[in-house]
Amino acid sequence: MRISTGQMSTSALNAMLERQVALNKTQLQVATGKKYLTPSDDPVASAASLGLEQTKAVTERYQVNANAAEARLSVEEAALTSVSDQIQRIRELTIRGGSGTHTDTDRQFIAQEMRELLEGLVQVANTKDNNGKYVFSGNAGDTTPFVRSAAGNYVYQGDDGQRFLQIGPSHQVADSDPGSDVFADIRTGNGTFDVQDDPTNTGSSHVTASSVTDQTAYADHSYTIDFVDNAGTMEYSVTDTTSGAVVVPASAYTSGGAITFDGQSITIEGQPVDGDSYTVEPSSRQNLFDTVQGIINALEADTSLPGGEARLGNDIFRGLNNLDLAHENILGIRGRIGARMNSIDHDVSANENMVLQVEKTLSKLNDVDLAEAITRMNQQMTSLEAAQKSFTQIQGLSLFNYI
Amino acid sequence: MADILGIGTSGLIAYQNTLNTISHNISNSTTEGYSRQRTDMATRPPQGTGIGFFGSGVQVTAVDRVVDEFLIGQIRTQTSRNSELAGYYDLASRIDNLLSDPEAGITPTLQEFFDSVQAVADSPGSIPAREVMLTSGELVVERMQYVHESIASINDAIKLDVQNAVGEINKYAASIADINEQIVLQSQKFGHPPNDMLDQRDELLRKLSEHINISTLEQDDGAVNVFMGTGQPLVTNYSSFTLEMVESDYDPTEFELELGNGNGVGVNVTDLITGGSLGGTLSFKQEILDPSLNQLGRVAVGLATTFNAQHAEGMTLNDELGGNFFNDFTTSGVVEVYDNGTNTGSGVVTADIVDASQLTADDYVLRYDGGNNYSVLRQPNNTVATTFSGAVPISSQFEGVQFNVTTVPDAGDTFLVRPTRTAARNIDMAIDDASDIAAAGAVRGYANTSNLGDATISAGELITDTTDPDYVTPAVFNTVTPVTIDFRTSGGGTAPYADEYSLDGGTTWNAYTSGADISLNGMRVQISGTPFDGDEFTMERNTGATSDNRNALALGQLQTSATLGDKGTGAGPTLDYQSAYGQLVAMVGNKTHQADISRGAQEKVLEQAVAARDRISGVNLDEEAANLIKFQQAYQATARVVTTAQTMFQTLLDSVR
Repeated sequence: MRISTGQMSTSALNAMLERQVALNKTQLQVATGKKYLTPSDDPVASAASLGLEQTKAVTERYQVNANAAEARLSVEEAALTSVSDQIQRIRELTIRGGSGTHTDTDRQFIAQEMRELLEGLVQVANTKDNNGKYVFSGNAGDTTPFVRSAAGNYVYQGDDGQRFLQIGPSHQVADSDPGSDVFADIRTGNGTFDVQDDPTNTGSSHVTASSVTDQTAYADHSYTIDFVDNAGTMEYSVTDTTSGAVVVPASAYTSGGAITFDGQSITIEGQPVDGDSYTVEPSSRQNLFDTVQGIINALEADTSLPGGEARLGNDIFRGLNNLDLAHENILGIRGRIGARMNSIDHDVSANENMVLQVEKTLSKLNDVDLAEAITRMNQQMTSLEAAQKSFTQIQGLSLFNYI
Repeated sequence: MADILGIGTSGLIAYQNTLNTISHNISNSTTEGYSRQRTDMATRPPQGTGIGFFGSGVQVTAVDRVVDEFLIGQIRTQTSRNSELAGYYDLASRIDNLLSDPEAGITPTLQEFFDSVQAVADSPGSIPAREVMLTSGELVVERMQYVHESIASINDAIKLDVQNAVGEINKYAASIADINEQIVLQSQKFGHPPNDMLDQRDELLRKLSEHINISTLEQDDGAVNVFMGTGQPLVTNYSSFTLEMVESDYDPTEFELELGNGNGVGVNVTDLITGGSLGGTLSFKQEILDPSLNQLGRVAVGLATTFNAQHAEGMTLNDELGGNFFNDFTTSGVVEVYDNGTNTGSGVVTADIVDASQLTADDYVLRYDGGNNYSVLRQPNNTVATTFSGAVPISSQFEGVQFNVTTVPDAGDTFLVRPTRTAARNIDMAIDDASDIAAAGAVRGYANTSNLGDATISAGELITDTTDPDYVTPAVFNTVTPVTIDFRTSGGGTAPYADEYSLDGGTTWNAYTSGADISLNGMRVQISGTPFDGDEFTMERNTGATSDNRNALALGQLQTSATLGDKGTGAGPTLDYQSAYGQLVAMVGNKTHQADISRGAQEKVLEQAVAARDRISGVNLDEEAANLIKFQQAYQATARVVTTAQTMFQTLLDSVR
């Protein structure tokens, strides 16, 4: 077989060029630390790593969101803890004010302290976050949640919106609670129905307990309890004003005896007079501040008026009921915040794992094995050198050297 | 003695000629396309005598080139394939490199953008967060434009490449026609083919095949006819035909190739060209470049359209419904439609994008088949994708695009529709005021605080389905007043529970079902639970909701939601923006990868073909050196024969003196 002289140098040159290209690629891999320099080196891996990069970026964003949500919930939690403490104090003051051993003047002082506490409560409810937005105004971040109207009651001006943040691929967590949920829409009375004394009552009767005894018999109706002096015997009757039916016909009244009808039980103590009456209605809603204001108003009322003591007793009883429901509500919200923070913690660690996993996969996909690459580079360098040396030596071989 | 002198002289001449040829071989040992030559020697006619034949010396009968025509043809074929793959690979790797650069792709900007959307969801009232969202939206737009322009600039470079290749092809074709004439003339004149000219023609044919795949047919007189494509002649005998780059019939910024037929009338041969750098460039354009621009455009249209749709469902800080965030690709006139320059009718065809999720990366040609029948041909293969028929004006929707014919064309007229080609260049921001970002939900529902029942109302949503009877236009919605929903106990109901409701203080009472939709004036809410007689709820425009992030949250979720690639099979969209872009990267990567492998293999094949030819035709210097010594020695010996003849003659002269 013959071979042309040109062929010899061409193939030697091609071999050297090939080795140079390979060496150059390995050198770039070592220099950049990347296994693939362009998508064509491994199209599948490149497309996969683009997707993984997105997963990583998105997950890292979830972490940022989770931190923001946690920070906001902490602010809310702190605010509600202080609200809880203040409600406790107000409750103590209310019990003290209703104890009957105090004079009107003492109660004025108690009311004074309660006013301060009320102001503190409103201030907490109108807390702003670090962006200058109100925490408890729902989505209306620039609207002061609670203001006192000209009529003297507190009005919620925000909305019922609740904001959610994305903290996982399919998990959103609320980072706020609207003031309507936290402070405003609190049921009155015992949470189901509310017993109110007629303001014109002059007897000394007042409510000491009320409860639902039979949920199935309870029908959300409204009633009046009327007291009539029937020839020296105090009698009461209960009329269902929703249906117009008399549910309890005139019966003898005993102080401290339970009045039961339609699944409800109401205990009234003291001595009513003829014409005194109570209304029983399904619980309406009242905000915490109006409740406290109601207690303050009761404490400041003149007890020397006819029926004044009884009215104070009734007001304190209702006030405490309302206060307890408000407190229960706050505790419930705090429980929810705790649950949310827990779930955030879970998600945060799940997300951290996710980022770690993705980084690991990305590294496996993209990062070059340096030890292997450098070994390869050394081999390629040796082989290039060998090709160069053999080329120069073979080129020196020629018959013409001898003629 | 005269014989001896004659025989010696014939040897001297023959070996001189042979040494000539050897020198020629040595001198041309590095000449491209040179085939080594060989002198054929034979004995001269002998002199017959009574005692037999006496040899009368040697003569050179021919100077041949040592070639194997089959191997030379192989080199042409492999060269053409090699240049095609090399050209294809070079161009493909330019896009490949562009997309591999993490700074150049759109992935990082998309991520940054959606990060900023989430930041707005975190603090919807924060103007700085909103400004960042605008800026990063701008970045997405700029990056898409940048990638588009970078790919499009390769398109411009291609035009130059094609222009150059066409120039070279024409030059070589003309030279081959020229040399054909020379070869025929010389052969006829001397009775032998001119070896070096044959080599030159082979080299010209090889160079021509670097640019285009050719086939050759040698004539009896030695001329070679050259054909391209499916047999279109480039050279016949002494004349060549001119390839020309002309504007496309559809889009004057695109080009077609025409081959002159000698009468000044060009034939479109664009789709017939294979092989060579020209074939490589054309298939790169068809397989990678145009689809890349289309796929990128699809991401742009998809992002703009789906993001806009969600954005329009939200409420801005100015208490208005969100407008377009990016420019609107669904308005009429956005899709490029080109009339074929050879259309004879005056048909008017337009196209609109109606469903971005169904868009493909394909171009279409709409053809009027006559008789109110239209065909949509998928490009570049011209396969019929769908047909529709009807009198004008007629519209038909296919793969997210609506084709509209308003004036009837002539039968056979065609229109090129490119829904996404330039979208990535045209994408732009539609808003520049941070307060115009619609982060809040459009509607809110709330319960009257004096409600006694435990019924709750949902947050409320905007009705976006234009066919819904309660749908209102954004302009109308921006003026709607709050709608109250009042509950009462019907005659047959159980007080105090309510079982019917009226809307907006009206006197029409509707039966209440817990959780059912309640809609009016473009707003929709659900009320669930047990309302009491006299309870009241309100749904209204969500004004002043600076802390509401409902819509920003929904916008943020678009990042990982499948919004594109709906194949119309009922499975719904299959790709998020990133995956749609990933498809582009993978497509280019795959094609480049394939081209790289084929190119590597083809290089080896070509090397082998060259080696096979060189084994036969290449000059080996050692061989020539050996021959040099051999024939030099023979020359010296023959010279000694002449000297001997002279000595013999002298001896004779001396003997008679």
